[in-house]
Amino acid sequence: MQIDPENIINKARNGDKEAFGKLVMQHQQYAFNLAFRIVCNEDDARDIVQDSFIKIWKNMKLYLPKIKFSTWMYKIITNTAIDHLRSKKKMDMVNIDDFHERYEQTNVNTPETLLNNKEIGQLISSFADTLSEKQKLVFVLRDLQGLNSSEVEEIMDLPETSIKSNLYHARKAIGEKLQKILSYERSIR
Amino acid sequence: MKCEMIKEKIDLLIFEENKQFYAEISSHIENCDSCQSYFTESVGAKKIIGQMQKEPELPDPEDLAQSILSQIDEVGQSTNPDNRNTEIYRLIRRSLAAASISLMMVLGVEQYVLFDKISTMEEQVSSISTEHKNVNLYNIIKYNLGFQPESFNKLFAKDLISPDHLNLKTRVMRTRLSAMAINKLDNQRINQIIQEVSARSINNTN
Repeated sequence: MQIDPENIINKARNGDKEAFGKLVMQHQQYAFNLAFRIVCNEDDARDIVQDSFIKIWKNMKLYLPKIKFSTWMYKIITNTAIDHLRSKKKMDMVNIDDFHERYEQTNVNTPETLLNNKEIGQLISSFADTLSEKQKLVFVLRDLQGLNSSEVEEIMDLPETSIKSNLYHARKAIGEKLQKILSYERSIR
Repeated sequence: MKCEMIKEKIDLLIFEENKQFYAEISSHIENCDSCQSYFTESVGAKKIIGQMQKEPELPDPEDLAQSILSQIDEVGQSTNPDNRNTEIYRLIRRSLAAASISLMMVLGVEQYVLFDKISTMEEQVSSISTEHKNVNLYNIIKYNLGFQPESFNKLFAKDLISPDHLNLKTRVMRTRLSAMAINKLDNQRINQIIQEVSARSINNTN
């Protein structure tokens, strides 16, 4: 039998834990992807997913259906992940030697290549950790999670022009970094 | 300006797969080293982003769900939102957007140059803790209620700007921008919020 998502959300808002359990099962993989892509670490991402769903449960009654439930949920996960990053002060600069080494470990040439979580985390942190916090978030939400501009605007409380500008700078920085790596590789051959 | 437009079109082509401007881009980059190198960088970025899009595997999903559900047994559901800080951020951001449009129109500042500054300013504001002990944010607002250019300048130079990488010109620009933006806020509403927060702090202290 088809389950009506709105019905599940309404039940969870009214304190139905079984319905909330269904929401957790339905969304936890996506929530994990988002948290992981922000913090680049499996254990931290699990903690963030756990904390976020507890916040979501506590605040279910405050959810207003004028925005999509998933967008509201991603906003909570994003904020929890950012708080986590700030508390651990993980936004370190990566020097070019470390960066090259880290990139080498993840330098895969075919889309079929399977990367494990650690390698995916290293790849993202190599390229995205030197972005500003806002650039990184816009990049993760838009390019990695595949959300559309209006969802990113809602999650980050930013106007479209700012989303566009941050995405432009993020992609540019990633492209420039890749060129540095490639020219470094060419220079040592 | 032409190159900036071409770069936007390169973004559309590479990242949104919109081929509308393919011919224009192609003929422009033949004679423009800067855009050619931007094109090459964008192709590389697209490729590496494709690799980053690989989905991480969530280990033991059942275990995680169980852990979450066992914890929610211990917590209730809140019915009393406290969105006052969010409201201040919204006001500041809306005002920054308004100020940016004015600056673009009045000074003819290029969009990306301006948004760099706006983004930095917004980041500095939003990086302040969302907890209620938010001294810096309320200081900014208080300064603007009785606006004094010198004090305000000093405040931003001291509290919000790292002196390592910003020159005086940027600082003056940002101060002017911030002043324009925050002065547009509804002083009455902000005063009310400050009073509420102050009253709550006093209650908490007691």
